[in-house]
Amino acid sequence: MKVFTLALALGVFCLSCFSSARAQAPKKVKITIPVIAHSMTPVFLAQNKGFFADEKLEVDVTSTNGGGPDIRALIAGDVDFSFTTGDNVILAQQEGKKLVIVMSGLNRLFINWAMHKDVAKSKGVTESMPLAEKIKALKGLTVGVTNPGALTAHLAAFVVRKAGYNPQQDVHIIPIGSGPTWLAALENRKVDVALTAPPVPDTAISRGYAILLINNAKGEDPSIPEFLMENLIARPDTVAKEGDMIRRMVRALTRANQWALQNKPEQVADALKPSMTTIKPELLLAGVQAVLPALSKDGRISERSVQVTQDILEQAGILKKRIAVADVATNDFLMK
Amino acid sequence: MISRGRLFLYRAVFGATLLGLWELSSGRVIDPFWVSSPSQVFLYLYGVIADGSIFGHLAITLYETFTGFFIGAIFGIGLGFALGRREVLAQILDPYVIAFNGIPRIALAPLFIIWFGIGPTSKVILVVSVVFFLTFFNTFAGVKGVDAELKNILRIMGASERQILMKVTLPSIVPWITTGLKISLPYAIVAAVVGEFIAAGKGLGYLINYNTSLFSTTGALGGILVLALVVVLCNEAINRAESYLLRWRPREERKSEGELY
Repeated sequence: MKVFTLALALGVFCLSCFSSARAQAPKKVKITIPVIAHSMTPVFLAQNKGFFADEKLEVDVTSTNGGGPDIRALIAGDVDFSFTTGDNVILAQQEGKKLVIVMSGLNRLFINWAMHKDVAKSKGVTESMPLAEKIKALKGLTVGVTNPGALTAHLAAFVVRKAGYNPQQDVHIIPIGSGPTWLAALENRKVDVALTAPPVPDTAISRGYAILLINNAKGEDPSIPEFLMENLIARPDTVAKEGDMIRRMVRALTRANQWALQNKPEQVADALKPSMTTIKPELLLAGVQAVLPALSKDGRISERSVQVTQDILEQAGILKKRIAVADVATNDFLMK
Repeated sequence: MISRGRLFLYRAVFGATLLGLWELSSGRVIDPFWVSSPSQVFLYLYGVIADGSIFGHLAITLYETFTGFFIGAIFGIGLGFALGRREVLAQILDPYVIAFNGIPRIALAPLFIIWFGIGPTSKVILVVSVVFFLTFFNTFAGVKGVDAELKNILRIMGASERQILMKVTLPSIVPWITTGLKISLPYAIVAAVVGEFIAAGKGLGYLINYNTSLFSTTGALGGILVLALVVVLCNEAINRAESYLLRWRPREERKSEGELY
């Protein structure tokens, strides 16, 4: 009897140890990101500074080498979250697939325009001239965007229309890919102007063949004061069932942004290094300096950012019907 | 042997069954967000044909495909033929040909765009790089496989090398060449589309990429369907050309009359 009681006690002890270990085991989370770039700063910092680990999250980050597959993996249920641009959510909703933005990571448009130096010279364009004059100079030029249907393409059409021109008639817009092909197209004058996320335009500028035409990262365009740039996006079923996991993700990413905003750019660049190993140190730092003003302090999704994003899609001619903010975003999971 | 009319009927029934199953499963078994439906795709195609917007894309893709296809085929057949008849030269070039053929073209596509620009030239060169090797290897194998005994008999009969070439070698390698061309044509279209996916302002690849970016499965499948139709029509054209070129062969030996790949 004594032996039996001892065995039972031992069994109960082992069981309690096992369930306690299970309770403390980190939750596995899968997230897609479209690119390895500065716009992913919140995710990289949360990973590298241990903010995910602090929330008992083991986050598996997958880069899809371009926008599109990242959000489709989320819709398909392969991953729990996507950290990407909000226009995807609006366009998916338009096609009948609901997604929810649960946090804003970058709330300012982080896409800059570069113009080939020879074109700038012939058109008399300088970095310091007023925005209205710069965009007036686009007439007759060829503008390179990353992909057909990408945010850069929508933005190009939006700016061309704002200048009073007709896209493809007055200003030719063509996709030139991203990274190396983008740089080659601008350097070889296959396009006169091109736009994409830093640090690619900065690379063209640092190599001496381009000038910065529009610096959206610094908020040069007043018609785009806020934007759904990079956001934590989840499926409605995750929102309904995994509230705790979402709160932990949001907390970790918000802490990452707050840490970045409270520290020097050099420290942020150092913390990003493990995730962005191939970028030259000076470009890494320049990108950090560009991204800091765009980071959201509290992760709040503003109504204005949703409306401005829809303005751009509408002007580009691809949004058929505007969508209510509550249908695509919620601030319910933010830190109190 | 099945009659042409009956063959057409069976094919039509098979196609209609596939489309019917697709239409029925869309929205009932599979989410239409992923697969759309034939009715939606045909409506989309009707729209882009009616407004004419598809033709500009189609023309660019066809231009890139056929320009690259002809250049690649000419060089592939030419070199395959030359190396097939020059043993030493073939041995010297063998490791290089194998090495170049081993390079995945998809990896070359972004480089071609950097080297040759974002216009059609980069896509044409990508197509050339695909078609060249497929036609080269087929032609080379064809030349090597010409019946040596037959050639010797002709030599004994006093035929000149030119007569042997015209009467034996060339007729013997025609099936190999047409097989190479048939195999390479769908790859040529794929290469042009891959190039357009990476950087292009027009073309069916651009159109599919654009629609995919906007989550329009209907538009993307519409573009894919047009591509598939182009492949089928081109394959039929090559089959007819092959039949004409091989009209001297006994009917049962002509592959293209029956079926098909």
